[in-house]
Amino acid sequence: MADLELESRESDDGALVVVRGEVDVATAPELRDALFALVDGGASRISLDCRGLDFLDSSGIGVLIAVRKRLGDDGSLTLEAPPAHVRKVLELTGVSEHVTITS
Amino acid sequence: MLLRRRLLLLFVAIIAAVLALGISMVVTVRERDDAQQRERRLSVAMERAAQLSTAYAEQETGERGYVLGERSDSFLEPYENGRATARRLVRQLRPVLDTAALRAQLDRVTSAVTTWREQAAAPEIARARGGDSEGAAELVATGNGKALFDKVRTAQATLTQRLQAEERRAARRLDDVRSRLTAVFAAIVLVAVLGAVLAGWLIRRWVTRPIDELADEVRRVRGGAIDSPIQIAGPPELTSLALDIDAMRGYIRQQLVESERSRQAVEQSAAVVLTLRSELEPVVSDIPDGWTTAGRLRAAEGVVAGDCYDLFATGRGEIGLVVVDIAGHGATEGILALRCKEMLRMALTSATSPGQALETTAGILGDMGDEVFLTAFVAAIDTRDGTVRYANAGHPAAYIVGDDSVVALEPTGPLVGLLVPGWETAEATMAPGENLCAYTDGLIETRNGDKEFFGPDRLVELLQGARCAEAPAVVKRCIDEVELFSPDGLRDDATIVVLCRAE
Repeated sequence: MADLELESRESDDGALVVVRGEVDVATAPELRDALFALVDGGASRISLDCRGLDFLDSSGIGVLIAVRKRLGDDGSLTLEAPPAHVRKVLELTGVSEHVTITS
Repeated sequence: MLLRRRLLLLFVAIIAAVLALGISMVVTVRERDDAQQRERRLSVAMERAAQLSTAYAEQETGERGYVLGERSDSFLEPYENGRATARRLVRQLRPVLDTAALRAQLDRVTSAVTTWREQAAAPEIARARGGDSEGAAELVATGNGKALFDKVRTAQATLTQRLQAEERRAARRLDDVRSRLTAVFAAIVLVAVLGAVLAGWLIRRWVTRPIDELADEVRRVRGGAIDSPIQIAGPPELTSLALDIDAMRGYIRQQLVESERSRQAVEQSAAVVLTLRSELEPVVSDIPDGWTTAGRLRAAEGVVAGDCYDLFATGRGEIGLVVVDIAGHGATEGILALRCKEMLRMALTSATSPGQALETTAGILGDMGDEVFLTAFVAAIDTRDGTVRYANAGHPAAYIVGDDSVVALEPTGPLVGLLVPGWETAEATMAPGENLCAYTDGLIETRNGDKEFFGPDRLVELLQGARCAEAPAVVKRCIDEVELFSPDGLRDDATIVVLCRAE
């Protein structure tokens, strides 16, 4: 069974979420619930610390897209230091055009 | 503090205030009535005192007339009657004199009259009656009678003065009490108004507002926000009610989640689902000579796949190849995959370029929903010269594999679902003997127990050097290996399609 650990830190208008483990069809709902709660709570800039992200498949992509749409035009979604294969999937699917990726 | 206790205290306070003011009013009214009565009494007393004065004057006049003038009995009448009248008036006057001082003064008046009678009037009358006119006149000349009667007059004047003074005092008292009564009335009205305002404000604060807030929260959840908690600020009974309602919301949400799961479980076992499964695997037909095709779709454990593929002849000397991967799986996703595949097939068949086919399909699907997206690989292969026109929407690169060459057909646009239009159509070529392989990420992202990926390298390895006749075997081998990689069952749908150009 895949494991996912999330740690959120909220600031004035944003939030930083440290993601550790794997995001797949089983754990994606957990990530979705956490990020949706932050957006609904007023965060407009969300950063995901992806250094500990081991795996992200299409369900994870779906969550990122949904969060991006929910943030709207005024908001931003940033992925910090995603591993190479995750970055590749984001570029492959074109999602990298809609989120900010930093090293 | 509990709401019921707060309200109880509020009402007790209001009732206590009303009672206090009510008692005060009753007492003040009683005082006013007393004051009014006293004033009336004194008024009566003054009248009677005046009458008494007249009665005494009549006696004196009568007596003098009899003694000094004609000893006519008619002059004695006023003396005798006046006495009776005076006695009656005194009897009537005494009860309405309500202070000891007034009564004492009345006594002084009556005793002065008695003294005058006994020491002056009676002896003078006796002498006059006895025929001794000179003797009577002598007595009168002493002035004793006059002096004594003057004392009576003085005493009477004093009584009258005192009565007047008391009357004035009683009138003042009545005014005071009347003012006080007005004040008490005003206070009652003020307390009633203030009490009502205070009660209204407190009830709004303690009851109405928290209830409105709770109603808003409930409406919000009813409107669809089943995930957000319900809580309000307010008195203990209402906050605890909010907690109970929130627990109910949690229960409902739980039920929704479970019901959704049950529905999906039911879907999986329905006959419709079995039909759907088979629909997703196409019947490949009409492939021109010299071209071999093979394909397999393996759904993730126990579900209907979100993958779909098709290989068909477009009717213009072309082979159409479509691979669609919808995020997720289940009957809904399976149907959507089927629809997309059909739309792409139709577009390719009507000579639309692969890039255009994607745009048209994306346009028709519109905004599919927040988390729905798909990746797709769409290609039209010219069977005469092996030209491959393709468009790749965020999909893992397809490969053209020869004996010692590998060409990757990378994405020409983003995945479908981001509402961003535009997929380029690119070109490549298949030489005789080469294989074109398209697949979904479920194939290459399968991992074994050591967290190793099956990966595109392994895929290419299996394809390299494979002859066309071996295409079905290669496909089967791929799927078998993928299944070996995941002994607990596939996590994602895995699809592989191979097209081979004869040598």
